Amino acid sequence: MTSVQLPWQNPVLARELKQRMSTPRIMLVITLYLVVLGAIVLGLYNARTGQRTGGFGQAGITQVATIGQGLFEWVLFFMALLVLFIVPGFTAASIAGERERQTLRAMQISLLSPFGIVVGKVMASVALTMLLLVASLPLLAVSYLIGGITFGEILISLGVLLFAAFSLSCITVACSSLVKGVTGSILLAYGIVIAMVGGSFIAFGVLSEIDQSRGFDQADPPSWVMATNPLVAIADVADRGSGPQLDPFGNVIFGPFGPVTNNTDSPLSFIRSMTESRFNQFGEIGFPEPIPVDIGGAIPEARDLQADRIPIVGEFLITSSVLAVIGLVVATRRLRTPAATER
Amino acid sequence: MTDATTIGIASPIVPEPAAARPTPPIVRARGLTKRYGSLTAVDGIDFDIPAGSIFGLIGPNGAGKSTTFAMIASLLIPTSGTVTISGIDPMQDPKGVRKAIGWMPDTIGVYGDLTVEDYLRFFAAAYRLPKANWEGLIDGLLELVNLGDKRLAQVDSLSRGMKQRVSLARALVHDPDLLILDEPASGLDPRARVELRELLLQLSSMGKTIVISSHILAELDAVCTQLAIMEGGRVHASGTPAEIRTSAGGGRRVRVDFLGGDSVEIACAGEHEQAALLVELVNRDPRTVIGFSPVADDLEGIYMRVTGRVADVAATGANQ
Repeated sequence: MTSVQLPWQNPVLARELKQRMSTPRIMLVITLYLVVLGAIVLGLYNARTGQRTGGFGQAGITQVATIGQGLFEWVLFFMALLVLFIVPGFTAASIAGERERQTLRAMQISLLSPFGIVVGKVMASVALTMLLLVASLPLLAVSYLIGGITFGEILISLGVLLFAAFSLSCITVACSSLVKGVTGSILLAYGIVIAMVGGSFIAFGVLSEIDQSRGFDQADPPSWVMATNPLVAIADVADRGSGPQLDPFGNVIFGPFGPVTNNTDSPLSFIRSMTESRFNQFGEIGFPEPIPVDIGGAIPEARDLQADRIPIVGEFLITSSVLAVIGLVVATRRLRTPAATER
Repeated sequence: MTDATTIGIASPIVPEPAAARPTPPIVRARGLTKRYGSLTAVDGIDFDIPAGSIFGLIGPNGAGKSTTFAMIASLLIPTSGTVTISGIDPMQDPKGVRKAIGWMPDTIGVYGDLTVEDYLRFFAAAYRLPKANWEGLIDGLLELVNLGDKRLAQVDSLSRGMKQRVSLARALVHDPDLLILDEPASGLDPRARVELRELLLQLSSMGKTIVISSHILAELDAVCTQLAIMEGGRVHASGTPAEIRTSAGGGRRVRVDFLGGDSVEIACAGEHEQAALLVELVNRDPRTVIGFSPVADDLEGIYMRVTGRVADVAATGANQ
């Protein structure tokens, strides 16, 4: 007699969580993760508050409002980096490790479907990422309390990060199913991550140079080159333009110390400057021209200029979805039995 | 390709009583072949395994035993030929086959960081057994494999023999009719082997059909009701141990001891041939015969003769 299993009752997921969450390793990973992020937040906060409030005059004080946004972007950047580092490390052994421990065949010969096994592995990896993201919420809350960030922005950013982790998990599980050994699987997974992140930056830079060498035109390098890059997507989703921040109704957002501006000097801000590169009025690749903001009535122009930006996050979500599906299909096919050779 | 050997089929002329009639084979292989490129791992083997039997597959490493098991267990696609389990083709209905079989592979693959009960719970869930039955099921399984006191122990903390029994409990979790045990005694100490043997006999008495492979032939000799001798991907002989002894050894062997310590073994088909050969030996051999004794035909001897290695052994024995 058998019973029906719901997706969250996936035995592989339950077992993985029991195995992973009850070990000292996970506690160590979370502790290290929070210590690193906490140190970053503390260091940035001290540096920024000292820099902003230690000067003379009103300008320093009003700029303090950008601290919240800056902290948010810095934390988000490091969260993205850690996810890029942790997800492949935790997922690369998912199938290859079972193969090495000689436990894979016992699962394959049970009534678990190959898709069920793969989904269990991916869900376990995503659950770990969710745990890390939830654990880091108090640090993000610091920037929320300082101001300049809405709760919705935090949720959207975390959602994109979680989706990136999901896509990366699917790709890494596929790597794990393709390569027999754990070491090979880890190397392949990190190789893909480096290609997705570093490779896309390099490709974009090369295309920018080619674009520039053709002389003055308005063509930007194609944004799809960056569509695999989670950092660019995170930078895009955290972007608020380069002038004062506007709410959905076009009104300037004020923090406790004055208008909140968008120039955060964070790595995400730098990444945005790359993707927004275009020929400026001097014929050089440069940062976007400052958006002329007239609080009294020029809001539409500002919003129009913001609309010129490359919509990377949309392309990222589509590309990641495709890659995730490919990863799931590849891993499922690799685990399917009976097969011509032992899997 | 060897001929099919239908084990235990009754004579078509004189019908036997209903109770003695053979049960239909639970596993039937015909022309089963597996090739990896130019390597033929399994070469067109035929065999039947009757329900309720303990079927031993004998052969050295690389004989094709594990590959054969993997094809029975719906993990590998045969290059040609067919195999059915309770009439089900693993290629057509792998899930149907997986419900019917419990498989213990040749390596102890266990999750060392789980407790014994969590390990068995995982497989109870993997076989989609109702959750309400899990605890009773685990109690019963642990009692069967004599690990009741290790329920909360981490699998990694168990000895190899205990891990092997946990693995056997896992293979039994869905109460399969057919158990496939690939080298279950490998790496076990003598005590653990005896315990395993007793466990197999107990499972057989519960009506399970057991297919077991080993290259430690003495183990199989003690428990198997049916045997197949496999080497180089081919089945060289199959049947009951008695049938194989008869077909392989001509029925009996006699050891002749000479003065001075030399000895020789003579294989003969029957009593008359044995007498004739002994008389001829006494008359022709210049050495003085000091005694005759029947040789207990163990499985190892049968295996060596069936696979054509008896000549080497006899020569070695004569020179000693």
